Amino acid sequence: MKALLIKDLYVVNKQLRLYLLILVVFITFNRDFGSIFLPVWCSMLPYTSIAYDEQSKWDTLAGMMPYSIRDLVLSKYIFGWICVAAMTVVMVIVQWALALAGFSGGPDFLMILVGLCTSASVMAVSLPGIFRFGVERGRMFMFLFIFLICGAAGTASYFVEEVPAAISAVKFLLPVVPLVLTAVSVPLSMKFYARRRR
Amino acid sequence: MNAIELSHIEKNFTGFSLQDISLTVPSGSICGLVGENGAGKSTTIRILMGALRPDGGSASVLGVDTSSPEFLRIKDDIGVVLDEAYFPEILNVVQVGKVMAATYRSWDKALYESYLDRFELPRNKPFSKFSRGMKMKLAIASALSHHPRLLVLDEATAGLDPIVRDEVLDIFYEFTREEDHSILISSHILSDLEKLCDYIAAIHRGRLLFCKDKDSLLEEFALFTGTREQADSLLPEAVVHREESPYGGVRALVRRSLVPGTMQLERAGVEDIILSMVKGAK
Repeated sequence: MKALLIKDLYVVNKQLRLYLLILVVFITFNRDFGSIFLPVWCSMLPYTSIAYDEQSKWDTLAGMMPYSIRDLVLSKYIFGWICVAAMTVVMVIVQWALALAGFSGGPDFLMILVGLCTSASVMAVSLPGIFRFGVERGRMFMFLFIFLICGAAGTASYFVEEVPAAISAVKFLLPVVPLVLTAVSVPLSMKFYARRRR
Repeated sequence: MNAIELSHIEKNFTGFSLQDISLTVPSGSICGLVGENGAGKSTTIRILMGALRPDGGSASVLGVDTSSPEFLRIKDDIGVVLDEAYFPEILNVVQVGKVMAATYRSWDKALYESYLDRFELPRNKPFSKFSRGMKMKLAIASALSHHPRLLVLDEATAGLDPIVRDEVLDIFYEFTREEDHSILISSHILSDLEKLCDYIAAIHRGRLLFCKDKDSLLEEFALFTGTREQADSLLPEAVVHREESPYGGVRALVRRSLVPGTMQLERAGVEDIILSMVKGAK
């Protein structure tokens, strides 16, 4: 598992630098949007790594190395969670630093929680599709889910006067969504991955 | 102990099936797997390495059933080189080494470094900028640096220039100096296999034509060259395959023991035997 995480980190290394630059831009100009958008964007890094794997046919070699199907699948989820968590930590530090310098009001932890839960949910919904159909076709699941979330948020804002207050009221329930989705997603992804060996 | 045992392996795909493949590679030996493109060599290797589940039959490597959970541990003792390196091309050799070090319990960093020096592989150049020969050398360095007992090579020498190929074959020779080290190598280059292998297994259209030790194979078969009348006088069961020239001459692969001692026969090489057998099977 550790080896697979190291490999993925090397693979997306260059992109991470670009992410950090974009982080600073977003946090400086639009804190709340950045708090949600940046973790969600980081949750797509596993797809980048899977795309590189597919391009180099790494899976063919990995199937002959001492990696279990569980390791190969779970490593992509863990890699995504690590990227999202790392981006969130850096984002909070930058937001605090900007607040101390008098540029903004500091991190909004409710928005950060929404960002974390959305990121984990995006991964949970889209990764089985990617393991089943490959990156090109599987990416459709991810976009479909993001459109659904955006659509739901837009509809909610039409009917609910105070969206942040409504989210705040259910904030303790928010993490349940990605937890339940991930509990279903991981075994499903393992099942789809195992099919490749049939 | 046998390094590899395949018993009645079956695998069905749409338009292709592997049928009743049984072969044994004794520990300490080198076995060459030959066959035309699409014959089933890579499928056999994938089944052998547990990367593909067979529809029937059983496979064991280094004494462990490949379908058992223990096989994952045994993969630590197997080095694999495929027809391409298959590492993400964005990595460099140092990064590949770090990934492999976290993969194999017995990874030997000093040995890996020594292979990199020997192959003159640049440390920080991205793998995507490597030539095919350099990529294959990296794959070989990675496969050998965790002290495997078995090397599985699927077209590992394909596309290499003769100088690099010779260098690579020398390394495989070195590897088999240890008594319990074994190699399964699939290749189109039959001359390489003739030099390297103790056993030859030939697959044609998903079926095993034979799996024999090389010396008895060379002993069993010979080339007959003569007139059509002389060829017609041979026992039908002595002739594996015959080709007639427009000028009346016949060249045939024959079973030496079934040909009268008075007839002049030439030594058949592995290439002659396999090509004749494949043509005969058609």
